[in-house]
Amino acid sequence: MDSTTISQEGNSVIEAREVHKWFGRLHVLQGITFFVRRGETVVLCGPSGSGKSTLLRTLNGLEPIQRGELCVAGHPVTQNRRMLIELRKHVGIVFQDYNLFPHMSVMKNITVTLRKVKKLSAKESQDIAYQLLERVRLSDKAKVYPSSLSGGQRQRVAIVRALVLNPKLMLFDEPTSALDPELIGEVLDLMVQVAKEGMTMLVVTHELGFAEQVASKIAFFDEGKIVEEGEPRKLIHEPDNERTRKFMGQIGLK
Amino acid sequence: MISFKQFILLLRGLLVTLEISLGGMALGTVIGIVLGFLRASKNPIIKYGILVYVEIFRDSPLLIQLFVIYYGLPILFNIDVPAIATAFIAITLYTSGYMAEVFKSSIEAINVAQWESASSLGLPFLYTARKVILPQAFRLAVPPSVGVLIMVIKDSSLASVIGFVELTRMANIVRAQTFTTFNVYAIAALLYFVVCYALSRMGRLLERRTLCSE
Repeated sequence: MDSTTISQEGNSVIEAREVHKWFGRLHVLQGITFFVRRGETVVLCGPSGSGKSTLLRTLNGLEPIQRGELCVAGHPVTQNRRMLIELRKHVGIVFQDYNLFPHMSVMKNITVTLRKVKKLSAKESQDIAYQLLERVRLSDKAKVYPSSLSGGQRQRVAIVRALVLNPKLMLFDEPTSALDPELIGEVLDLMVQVAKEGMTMLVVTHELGFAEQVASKIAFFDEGKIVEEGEPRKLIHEPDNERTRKFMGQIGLK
Repeated sequence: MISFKQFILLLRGLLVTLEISLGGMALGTVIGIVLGFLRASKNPIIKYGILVYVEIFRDSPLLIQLFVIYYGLPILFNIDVPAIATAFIAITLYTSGYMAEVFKSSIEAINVAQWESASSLGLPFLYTARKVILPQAFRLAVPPSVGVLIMVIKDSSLASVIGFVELTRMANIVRAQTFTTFNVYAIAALLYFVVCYALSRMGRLLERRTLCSE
């Protein structure tokens, strides 16, 4: 990447330029260009299969792209293993299904990266993990295994696990879609808290209330393209695009 | 009827059978775990390259493998291989083929999301394999492994043919002393049966436990 493009978007944590991706013959990302600045929370929404989760997964290299340029947290995203490891130190990701390690205690789930990636001692790792668990009011669960937690608790642990490395960017892939309705609130509350503390976040979600509360921008995805992006209020209540309007109407009815 | 002393001889034979089976299977399992990861690889050259190895040792009779090692190595490389080493090597290779497939299936049964979340956290590949995937795969692998062990305990009797004194060979020796063919072999069979039946019950118990904890 040449120096002029970097200086243009020097504040950007995510820089995506003309990103294309195919699954076989399916063109899932059709020339995505978008930027997320430091400290911003951006929400991606759109119908399922529109490519929003795929885009999110390209940002830490879980999905390779075939064309275009991606620069995340100052690192070009490639499939080079060493560069990926470096990139991923700065990018936390939270999945729909939590993906905690079922054979490790809550504490171990969090400390394993501190020990292995940051090379901290057992004592230091546990102190850091314990403090974070305390903040999300789960310190009493430190010793239990994920199977004995509720979905909301599991997702909060997963968020803590991703936060523990102090990433520059947090990616959330439909973090509340697998949760029972009454458990969604506790996860969203934590995400709001994280956003307000200045974390840069990209969130794939249909929780428009969350978007209105903390997002500086919503990008509406359809058929592999960003159809419309803008300030949440406007995009939710008076979108310009016909497809956006239709989608917001459908979600609103639920 | 055989004497108490001869019965003790048979028990010692059983002990040797168990030692060679467990020992060979232990090393075979270690090799099988490594091969299992390679078999679960997405790279087709690795995946099917290893399959060739697996099929060679699974699809040829253990007796032939024993012969190849026992009679073949001295001719090919001019090294003498004692019967016990032959039995150990053959059982190791034989079980490594089976265990590779057991672990391949177990590793593939672990959700790919576990790999993804580990690598997203920056955990290195080998660490993920050892500490994230393997412990979970192990639980799935235990019940089918018990089946392989039972098979090996019975098949290890083939090593008697090259003169390795395990339970079957010991039975031959005792029979030659007493000329009570039926009794001796019946007792040997019973000893095999008791061990294998106990293992098979244990395997079923473990299987149920694995299913329940899903």
